[in-house]
Amino acid sequence: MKRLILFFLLILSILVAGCLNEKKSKKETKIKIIDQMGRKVEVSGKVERIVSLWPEATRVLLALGVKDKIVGLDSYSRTCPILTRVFPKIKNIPDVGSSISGTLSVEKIAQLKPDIIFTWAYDPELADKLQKSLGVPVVCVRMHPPKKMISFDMLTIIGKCVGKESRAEEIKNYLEQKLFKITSVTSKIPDSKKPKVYPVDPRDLLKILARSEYVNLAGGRNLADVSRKGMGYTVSLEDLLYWNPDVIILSGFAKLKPQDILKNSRWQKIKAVKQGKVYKLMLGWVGYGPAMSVINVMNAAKVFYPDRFDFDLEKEANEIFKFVYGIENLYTELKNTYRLSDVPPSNSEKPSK
Amino acid sequence: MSRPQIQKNHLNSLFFVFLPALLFITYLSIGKYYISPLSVFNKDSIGDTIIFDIRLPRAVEAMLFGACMGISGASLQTTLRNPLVSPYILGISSGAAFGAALSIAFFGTGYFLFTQPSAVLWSLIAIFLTLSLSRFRGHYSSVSLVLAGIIVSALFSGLLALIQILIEPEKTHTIVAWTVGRLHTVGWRDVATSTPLAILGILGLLIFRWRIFLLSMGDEEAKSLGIDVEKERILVVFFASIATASVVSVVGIIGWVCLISPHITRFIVGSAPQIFLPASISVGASFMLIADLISRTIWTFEIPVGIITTLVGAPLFLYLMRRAMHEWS
Repeated sequence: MKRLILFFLLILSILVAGCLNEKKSKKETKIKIIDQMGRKVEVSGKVERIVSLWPEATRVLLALGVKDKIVGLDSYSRTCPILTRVFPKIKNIPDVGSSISGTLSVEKIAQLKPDIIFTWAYDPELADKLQKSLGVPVVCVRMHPPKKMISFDMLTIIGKCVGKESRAEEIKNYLEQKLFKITSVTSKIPDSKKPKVYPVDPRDLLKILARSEYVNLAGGRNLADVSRKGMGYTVSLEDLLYWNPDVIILSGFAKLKPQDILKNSRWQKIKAVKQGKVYKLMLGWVGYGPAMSVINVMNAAKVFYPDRFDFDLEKEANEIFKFVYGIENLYTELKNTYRLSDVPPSNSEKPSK
Repeated sequence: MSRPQIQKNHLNSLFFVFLPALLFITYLSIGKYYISPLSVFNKDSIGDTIIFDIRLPRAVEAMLFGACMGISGASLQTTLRNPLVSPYILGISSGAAFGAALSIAFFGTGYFLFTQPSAVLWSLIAIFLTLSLSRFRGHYSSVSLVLAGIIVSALFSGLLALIQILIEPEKTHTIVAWTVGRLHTVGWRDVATSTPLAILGILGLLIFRWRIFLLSMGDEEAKSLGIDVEKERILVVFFASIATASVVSVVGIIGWVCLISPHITRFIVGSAPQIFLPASISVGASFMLIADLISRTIWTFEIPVGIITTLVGAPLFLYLMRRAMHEWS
């Protein structure tokens, strides 16, 4: 009997100790934020374990210098050509699947005991569900909200959540300046003088990439309707022949290359093909990122208006990557590895008419 | 056979030749954009490219697909004496999809030449599996064949889903596009790839049409007429698989055509084999031309033709089923 009482006392003391511990942790300050889906989320003041389910968020986390706090990532973050170069050890971070391919493992996330989860802003229901079942704050973010074309709010929000506000503001100001140099020129060009642009889906020549806001920002008439939801939609070659785009832009990290179009007999009567204006340069891998998005706009602007912009794209892009991720010559390396197109030099080559 | 009956058959034959021909011309001349007839033969205009390099191969492939599906469905439904049978139900399409996915997963999307043989091969493996699973106490029955087909379809669909999850996302997209079925990418190369096997399959079934008719009378009657029922049935299934795999391996899985075409045909001409099988070719081809014409003109962007065939096919099937209920029961 004595033993039994002692045993119960022992159990009781463990329980009480547990409760006390919990009370202690609850005393921490909470930060209230509103994410990019307008959801109000409470985040604990000291975030130590982060799970990101959306490559755009992962890119921002690396830019803010909190890579050591990341404990779990979606499958696409772990294979992104930029992220694997910025942070080679990304392969050692546990893979939790991805909601995009239907392989997301909620159990795996629970096991990682995150303090906060970042996910994409296209699926707020998933965010609510995760938050409810795991009891962990889930924050929705995105680089290109509808109507706004591009937004750096994501930097501010994630910066607040992980306590890196000043670094976030620094990157935001830097990129906004870079972007403004382009948009201040392109926004004044009348629609009639803008080139017609066909942004190609990374995996299918006959599919428009709907998430191609960079084309509009760079002053192109985008054949894709960026206000449409979803990633892209199918077109026929007949449509393309009638639209007759002036420029065709392919995705930089995809296997499709300009030669696939330039050498195809059925594409020959399209203006962009006749003039050889088929470029492989869009940087994106399941979403964009602050650096990628700005570089895409600069790159496209240079293609559309070689006479109006006289910066050296490769140098500028390397500088932006250096500023955001602290890595030298990243654009040059990507350009060589993925054979990205050369952007026409500003003075020597004038558009043939 | 009485005289009026023969005349009616002649009329029918004319109808079945002219219907697809008329639709073919309509298909070529209608699009989202107007092409002036003169510009078609002008080498520099886009009219030339649109008609000869885009609409023409697409129309030919659509007809080929419809024809193969029509006659395969008709032969299988007759041979197995079951109005619900189609090449898809016997697992041929799931096998082809799995084969294509396997090839895409291993060799990537660039190796166009590997994808199709792999699809044909695996569709044959699937139908072989179906045939062996359905062999029950030494012989095949049409019920066990359908059941085995459903099991094999399920097996290959599961394997396909597994491949999609395991491989790179880039390839998954290609596989998904392939399984949905698409005609908008079809060029002359695709037509050339699918034609030889398609013709082999169609000719095989046409030559066999009398045996198919005998098989349709039931095992006992066919046996009493000196037919080796099991051997003949397997041959019919084999040719139907070849015809199906030849087109499915190029354009992917487009549903309902193989099920609905034989029913429309039976509704128009009845099930006398000398006209039923050839007519099902024509009906299948016409059905696909109409469906694809809708799919490429109805909306500002392309709608996968498989969606149209299903949306048109399902209510049509219901209508035919109501009309012909007494025949089946």
